[in-house]
Amino acid sequence: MLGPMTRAIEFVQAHWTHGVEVVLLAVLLYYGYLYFRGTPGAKILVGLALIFISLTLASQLLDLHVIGWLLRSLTVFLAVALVVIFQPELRRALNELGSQHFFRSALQKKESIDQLVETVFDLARRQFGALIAIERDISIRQFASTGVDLDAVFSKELVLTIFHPKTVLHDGGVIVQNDRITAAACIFPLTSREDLDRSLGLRHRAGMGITEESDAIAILVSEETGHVSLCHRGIIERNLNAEKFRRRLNQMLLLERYEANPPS
Amino acid sequence: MKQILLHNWKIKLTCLALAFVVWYVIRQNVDPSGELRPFTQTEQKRK
Repeated sequence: MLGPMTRAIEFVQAHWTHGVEVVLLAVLLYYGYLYFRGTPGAKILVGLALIFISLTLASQLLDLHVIGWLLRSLTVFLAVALVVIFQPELRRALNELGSQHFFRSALQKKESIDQLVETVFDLARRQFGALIAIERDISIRQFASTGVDLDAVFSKELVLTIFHPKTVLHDGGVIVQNDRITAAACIFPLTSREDLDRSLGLRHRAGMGITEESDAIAILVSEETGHVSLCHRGIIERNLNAEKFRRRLNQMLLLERYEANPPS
Repeated sequence: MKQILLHNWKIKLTCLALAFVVWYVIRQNVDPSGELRPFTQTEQKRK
C-alpha cells in the first residue's frame, strides 16, 4: 500500500515544476485568447498557431529534419511578424495593463453598478430609447468600428446626451469597456431567433444579437414604454424594476453566479 | 473557486491541452541547461 503512495509522492516531488510551467503557459494562452478573440487579427493568429504546432509536432514525431530546421529558422521571423501584425492590440494590452482598471476592486465595481442603475432608470423615466453593451471577457471591440469612437469616462450626463432623441448619436448602441464609453452609435448584429414576441423592436433584437455572439451584457430601454430589459447569452429579461435590475447586474458583474442560475 | 474553474471550462481545458503540447515541444528542443539542441534526438543517436 505504501509503495504506490511513495512512488506518487516521489513523482510529484520530481515533476511539480513541470506542472507549474504547463499551468503558467495555459494561463498565458487563455488570457491571450480572450484578449485577441474579438480582434481582426485573431483568425490569423489561430491559423498561424495551428500550422506552427501541427508542423512542429509532425517534425518531432516523424523525424522530419528539414521541416524542423525550417521551423527553427523561421521562429525569429515569425515572432517579428506577430509583433507587426498585432501592433495595435499589443499597444492596447500594455496600455490596459498600466491602467487602474485592471486592478479594480469589487467596491469600485459596485459604485459603477450604482451609477449605471441610476443612469438607466433616468433614461427610462425620460423615455429615451437606449442600448448599452457592457464588455466582459470576450472582446466586442469589432463592433466599435461600426460607430463613432468616444473613449470617454462613463457618466450619467454623457449617456443622457448620447441617447437624447435629437442627437446624431442616439441611434445604435453604446459600448462600455472598463467604465469607459469606447464608442456610440454602433451597429450590433440582430438575433436570428424567430420565436420572439413581435412587439420586440430592432433595438431589442440587436441587444440579444450582441449577447449571442459574446458574453457581453446588453441593457435596453424602450422608447415607447420606458421599460428596462437586460440581455445576457441571448436571454432577455424584460420590464425589470430598479431593485431587480441592480440585483441581476450584481450577480453578473460581481458574483458571477448568473451562469449557474440563469433566469427561466 | 469552483465558479472560477467552471467559467469557460471548454476554452480553459483546450488551453491546458495546448499548453502541454507547447511545453512538450519546447522541452524536446531544449537541454536541461536551457540551451537549444542543435540536432534532434534521432540525429544524436545516429552520431
